[in-house]
Amino acid sequence: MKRSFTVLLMLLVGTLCFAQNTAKQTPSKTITGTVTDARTGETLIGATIYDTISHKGTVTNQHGRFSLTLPGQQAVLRISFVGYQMQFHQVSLNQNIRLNVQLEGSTTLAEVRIVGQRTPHVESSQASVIEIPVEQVQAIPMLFGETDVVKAVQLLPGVQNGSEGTAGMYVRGGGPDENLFLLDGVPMYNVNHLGGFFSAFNSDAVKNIQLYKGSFPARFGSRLSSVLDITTNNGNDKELHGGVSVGFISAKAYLEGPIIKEKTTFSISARRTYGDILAQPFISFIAATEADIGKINFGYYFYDVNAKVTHRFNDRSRLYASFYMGDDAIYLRFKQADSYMYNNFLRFRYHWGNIVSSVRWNYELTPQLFMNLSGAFTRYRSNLSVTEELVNRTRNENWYYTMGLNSGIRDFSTNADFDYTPTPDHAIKFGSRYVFHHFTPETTSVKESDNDNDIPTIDTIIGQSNIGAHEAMTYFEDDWRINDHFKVNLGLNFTGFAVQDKFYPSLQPRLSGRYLFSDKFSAKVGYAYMTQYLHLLSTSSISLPTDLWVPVTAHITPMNSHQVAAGLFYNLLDSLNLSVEGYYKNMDNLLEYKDGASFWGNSQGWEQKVCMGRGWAYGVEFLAQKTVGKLTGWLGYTWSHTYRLFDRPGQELNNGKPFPAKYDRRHDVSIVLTYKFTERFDASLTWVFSSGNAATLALQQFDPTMGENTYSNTVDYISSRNNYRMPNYHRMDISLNWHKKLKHGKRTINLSVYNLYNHQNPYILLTDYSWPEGNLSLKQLSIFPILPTVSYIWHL
Amino acid sequence: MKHSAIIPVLAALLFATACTKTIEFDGQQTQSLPVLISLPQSDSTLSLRLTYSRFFLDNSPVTPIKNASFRVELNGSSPTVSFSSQDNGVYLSDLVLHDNDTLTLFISIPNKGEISAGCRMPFRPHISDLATDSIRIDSYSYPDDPYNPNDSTLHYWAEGNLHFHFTLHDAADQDNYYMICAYTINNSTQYKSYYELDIEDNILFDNTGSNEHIDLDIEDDPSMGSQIFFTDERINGHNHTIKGQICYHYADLSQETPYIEVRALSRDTYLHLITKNKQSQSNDILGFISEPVQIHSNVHGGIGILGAQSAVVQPINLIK
Repeated sequence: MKRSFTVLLMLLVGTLCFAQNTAKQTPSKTITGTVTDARTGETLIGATIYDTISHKGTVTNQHGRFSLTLPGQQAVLRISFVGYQMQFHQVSLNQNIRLNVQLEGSTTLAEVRIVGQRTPHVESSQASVIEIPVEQVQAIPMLFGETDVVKAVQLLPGVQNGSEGTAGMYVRGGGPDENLFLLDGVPMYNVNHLGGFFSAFNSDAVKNIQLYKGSFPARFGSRLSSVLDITTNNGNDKELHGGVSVGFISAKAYLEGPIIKEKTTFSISARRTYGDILAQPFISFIAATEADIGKINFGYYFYDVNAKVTHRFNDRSRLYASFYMGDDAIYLRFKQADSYMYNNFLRFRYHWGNIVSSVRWNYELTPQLFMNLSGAFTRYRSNLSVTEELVNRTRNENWYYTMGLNSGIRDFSTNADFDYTPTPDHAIKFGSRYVFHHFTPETTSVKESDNDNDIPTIDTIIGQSNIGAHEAMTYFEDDWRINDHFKVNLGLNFTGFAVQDKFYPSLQPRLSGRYLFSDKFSAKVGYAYMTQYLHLLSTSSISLPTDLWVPVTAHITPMNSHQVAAGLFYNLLDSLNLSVEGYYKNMDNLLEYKDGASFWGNSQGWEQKVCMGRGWAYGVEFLAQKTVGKLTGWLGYTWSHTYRLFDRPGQELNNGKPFPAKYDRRHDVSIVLTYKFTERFDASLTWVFSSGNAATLALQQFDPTMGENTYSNTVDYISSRNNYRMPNYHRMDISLNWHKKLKHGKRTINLSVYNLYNHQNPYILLTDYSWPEGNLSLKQLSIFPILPTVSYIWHL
Repeated sequence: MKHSAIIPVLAALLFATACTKTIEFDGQQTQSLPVLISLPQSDSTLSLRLTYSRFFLDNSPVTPIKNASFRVELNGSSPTVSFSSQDNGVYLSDLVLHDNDTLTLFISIPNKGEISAGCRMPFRPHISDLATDSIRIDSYSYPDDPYNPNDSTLHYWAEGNLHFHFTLHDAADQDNYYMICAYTINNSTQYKSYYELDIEDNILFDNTGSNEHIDLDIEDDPSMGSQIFFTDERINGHNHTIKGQICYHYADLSQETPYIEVRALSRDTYLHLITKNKQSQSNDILGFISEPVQIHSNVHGGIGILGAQSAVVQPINLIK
């Protein structure tokens, strides 16, 4: 423990001294500033600032800010960002300079060839990182026409979805709980709506999406498999701007603009499904025509709201406050007075959702040192309540029963992050984080009363008590350009987790390196050791609100993984990014439910239902991504293997032998294409293919009795877990967009067709008994046939 | 209704848009496997049943294996044992097994080769001090019973739950596996009816969740049921008092005699029985959401169980 801190401290101090010394070797000046969109004032993340004289450069950080310290008397800065017109600025380096740049958007994503410029894809020291332009996400055809960030990410190589249409993510053999979803830097626990068929991220509110699949920088921790870093819009600081979209299942709207021009902005977006509202008249009509139904009301809906306020005190200081709230709810209300003597009343409500809120303060301490302080609160909870009442009208008797099932997690966190750029060759990040986790794994409250004294009154709360846990993390990383060819990202992350009088420390080294063969071609390697202190107990492939987030405990130890990745990165014709990457990941202390266990039933604690084991995954990923030009999109291919082994005494699964994970798929192909025919018309197409999921089928049945029964009494014989492969999955979707400028704003009519050639993809397998023939057959259940949808979108 | 309402609601949402189609089975292992089932008890003769498993898409009755030939190893020797077969695949032998006997069976099956399995008979469990709490016994006669108008027999009815306790003396230095059950034997038909048991023991079952007896629709509590399985992991070598209750629900004691039975099981028997029970439970309403269960098998070259068990049975004497 002490040694870990010492190593981290030595590395921090050593690198800072080294960087300072390097900075002092030549007189140099620092250029700082922000890069923003000229039309909206929105900060641009990842814009390139490059000095054509010294050939040094940098990129803007998460807040659109850069710091570039250069030697010499003069610099000619080239500032570029995909989809924007490039700008050149000549600056004299006789003092530290502030340069705020506003880039004009291109009308089209023109294929501009920039001689001698390295794309971030080739230049970056990190492998296994992919950035997806938000415009591309919004163009991808989706289920029910609802654009979806997580589903777009699932189309990338190395990322798999769970079952058809769901938002569960399986990255490089990891489980769905091993992904860290950050919304403006704050973890979000449940990223799904409607059992995972939609993600909780409203694409109208999103500005930047970055996916890390491996080679994780040291600033990220607490998950094994991926980090999906989503930044939301700050809001237009020039003028009021908004839009409304009416789709097949939901409507959404957004509004953004200045509160104080170029000083304080706001951005708010909201959406809600309306199927329950539309269906209500029909339900009421049917209830009214059927005498014995009574008064009934049921439905399902989800909504989410994103809001953000940004205030710029001055060029050095900004304050952000962001808020997300989303909920899903299933409800049923039933009231009936029967013709005999009873009044029946039933109310059922199941709702679940997140709140994510944060306040951040950016401050530029010196031109080279940038600070970000934040405090955040995030909460996920699910609550089920059932109330039944039976009243005997003729006698003074009534029976009353109510039950509540609650689970959830609440986090209170503070962060202090620093960006220090002493020279263009060192981009140092360090900081710390503290989180207090408050888990409510599962509690059930039951109340029952009956004024007939024969039945005793029950009023009790059962289940596990709440669990509190403290998590503290400190990290240090240096993106170090050693020479023109070598660049490395060295980092250390130290995390400690205290729960139930147990302390789990973890020192996690991170390393990635790049060798540049030419401006267009590089090779990268990376290694990351990750530790995770939370588990999601989830039985089925779809995301249920009953999935439980639970911490490590005195008995359940933290999950950890070692991952190595290596790849080649090439930029073809300045517009096509090609990469091929291989990886091997070893995971330990993974949790699985024991045979026959499920989330259901609470007489046993969850720790008794799970067992611990390990897993490993390896594969090769190929990606060809085109982000500029009339034709954009990508082609991804993944070849992979994923296995699990649970062989610890008393915790064996599959008789202690290795078995393929549920989402062990040999081949995954995805093609995403968007073509802009004219200013008024564009079209998108996606095609996905994947090998079938592994499934457990009892291929034989046997009679376990001694023949004392005359009737058939067979049981299933399962030779091994996941012993069968479902049929392959493939599907094509298209999306057509017609745009038109209106007197006020612009409208888009979108036609999306999901599963264009109506391929029946497997969701689950069933055995079917035909009567009276008495034949058994194997059937697959498919849930989404061809689904055309039309949406109307209006932007102010 | 209660909280299981979420299952049909979610299922309804899913199936509302679902469609099914028949697909070809595209896999291996469609060949039947030999199945051996035998759960011999101490001081009883060995009997077993041999059948073939059937492919899961085949709905025909299981086929008994006939003309099997046997080779027996008992405690390192090879005694001559005669087997007589029945039509349903049951083979009865003249071999009587006793506590601590080690048995290995080699069975040659025509056109299938040889399967084998082994077991060691556990020692009979040692229990003492079985006692029960008082229970309300009412007596009734039914002179007006229309189906039996002249019956003046006095019927004794037990109402409520019968609490009991006994001491289990666990043998040290070995892993022991147990099963407790309680039943009545109908005096005229000799048919066994098993009671539901509720063992109140936080040492054996470590119920960190709850022991509250709430009427949840689905109960996964291993300390409740008609057969209670446990190991000596937490009581190894100790004398342990086990308390429980039999859920009577108006038993007619004039027709029945209640018994408590404690069985010592071999490890394979224990695993086979609990996995079989678990599979049965998970194939009910929980099939959609629970993990699949592999039934434990110890038969080489086939599937099934050659188990071993030794039981003590004690009647419960109730004052009528």
